[in-house]
Amino acid sequence: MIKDYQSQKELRDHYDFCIIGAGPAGITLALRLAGNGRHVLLLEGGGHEYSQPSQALYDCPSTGMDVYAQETRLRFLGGTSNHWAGRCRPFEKSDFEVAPPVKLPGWPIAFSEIERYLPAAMAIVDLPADAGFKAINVSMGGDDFEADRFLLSPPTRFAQKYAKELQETEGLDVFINCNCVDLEFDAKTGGIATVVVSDYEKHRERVKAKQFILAMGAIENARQLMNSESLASAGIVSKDGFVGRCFMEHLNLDLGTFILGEGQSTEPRQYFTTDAFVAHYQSGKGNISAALLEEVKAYGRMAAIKDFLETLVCDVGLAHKIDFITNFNCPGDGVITTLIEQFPNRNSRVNLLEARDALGMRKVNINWELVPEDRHTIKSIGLEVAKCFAETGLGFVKLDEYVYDVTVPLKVAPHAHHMGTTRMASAPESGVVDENCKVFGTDNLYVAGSSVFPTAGASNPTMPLLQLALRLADHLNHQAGPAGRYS
Amino acid sequence: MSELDLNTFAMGRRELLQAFALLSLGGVTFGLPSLLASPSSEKSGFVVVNGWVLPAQYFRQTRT
Repeated sequence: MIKDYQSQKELRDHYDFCIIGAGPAGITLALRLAGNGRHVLLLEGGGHEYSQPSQALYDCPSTGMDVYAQETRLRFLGGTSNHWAGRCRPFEKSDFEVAPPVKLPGWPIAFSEIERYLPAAMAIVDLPADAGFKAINVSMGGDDFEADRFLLSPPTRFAQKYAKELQETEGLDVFINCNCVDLEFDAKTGGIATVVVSDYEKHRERVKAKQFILAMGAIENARQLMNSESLASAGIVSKDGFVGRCFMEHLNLDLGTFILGEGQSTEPRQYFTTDAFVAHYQSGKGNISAALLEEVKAYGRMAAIKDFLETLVCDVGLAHKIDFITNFNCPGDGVITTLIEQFPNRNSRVNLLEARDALGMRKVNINWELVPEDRHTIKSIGLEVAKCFAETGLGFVKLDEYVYDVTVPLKVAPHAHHMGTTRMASAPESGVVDENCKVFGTDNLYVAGSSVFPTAGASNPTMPLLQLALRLADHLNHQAGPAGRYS
Repeated sequence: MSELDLNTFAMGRRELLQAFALLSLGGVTFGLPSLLASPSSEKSGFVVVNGWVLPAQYFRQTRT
């Protein structure tokens, strides 16, 4: 049943599970747990639709590079899936086997731990079970880049697709406009005893449950933990700990432009770094997309490009040739864009501010920061892509200066893939949650979503985070004992 | 997987130098004689001019 907490203060006395956040991870968990006979409370701070009072609670300044934290998230039922583009590329074995070269551990679990949940996650986002992940082009040749393989979800809008289940699943209470404003930790029991919820008039009450799961996205999961004074008093959240640290995005930057080789297809291309490339350059992974400019597709290539190609190959004298290319300012036939892995970095972080939002929660600042190893990844990918273009006859690439000169400030945008702020680790010295997504130092507080990713890879995070949510649901159902209500 | 092998030309003009960037590791190679003396750059190297990553073979000094 979906109820509006603004007008319906009808929370039960006690739940088996309280899930905070009704985006893809939260909805998936709620349906799995309730479907197994549990009493589940799913809290959503927003309503059925976008509203400014709810979205304003995402107000979040940033230092470092701008992550557009308010624009890239949506705070209503279905969460950010309400504007999800739908691109799905699964994680690979190497994502779990290769630690990042930055003195922080990678995944503490084996790839097989989430691989087995891929078919179920594909079904959730409406990908056909028998569909392989497809490439739109052939490989570039060589062993540095392969054709990228992905599928496009319709895309699934979770609130719409699962509206009937959210409304009708027995044992599931969904409350919209119900904002979690505190997690109350009981040091005697070692667990969260209650959460405090609030409507938009600041009417507050406590909710009890046996298990609590944060599923609010990477920024809010960390923010909720950092806002809890009882967790701070117990030392579970501390200044020097990992909560809020290692904020990662996928780097969205232009590598440059290209001139298409003679006779080459004008269709868009997408490539992906191979494991051999990553091992050789000790770099991160990356997707590289090459697409023709709209005006070139419509009107054909500019005459200046023909001059460029003729000048390049003819004997005109070295000085003249170099002078010509130096002064060649044609934009080329197309642009090369990327989605590049960012390595975890303790200084790239969400941190608590003194300022408070309309419900009294302390706001956070995001300091999105790269490490030199990230510039190395960008440079390595840029140079090798350019080289492969020339070697295979695909064309010639003009790199943006910041790609090959790491002293030039980077022009980078986010992909709205927030990750890492409650990273998974085998010990609290290097993370926030354990292999089962349980917050270190607590008995009953879990985290779902891409905030648990210790490394980002270069796969779109929605489908992998669903695989992890399904795994967490299995763990919680198993831990709770035989199916059926136990509260 | 071959290494990128790039060279920088010293053309005596400031703007040309600024237009070039060294992409290989190991230091700058200045001067055309150095470029011509490098077999690897002639066979599989690349140069960068104004950001364009181009095969070094197009920049051999043949006739003037």
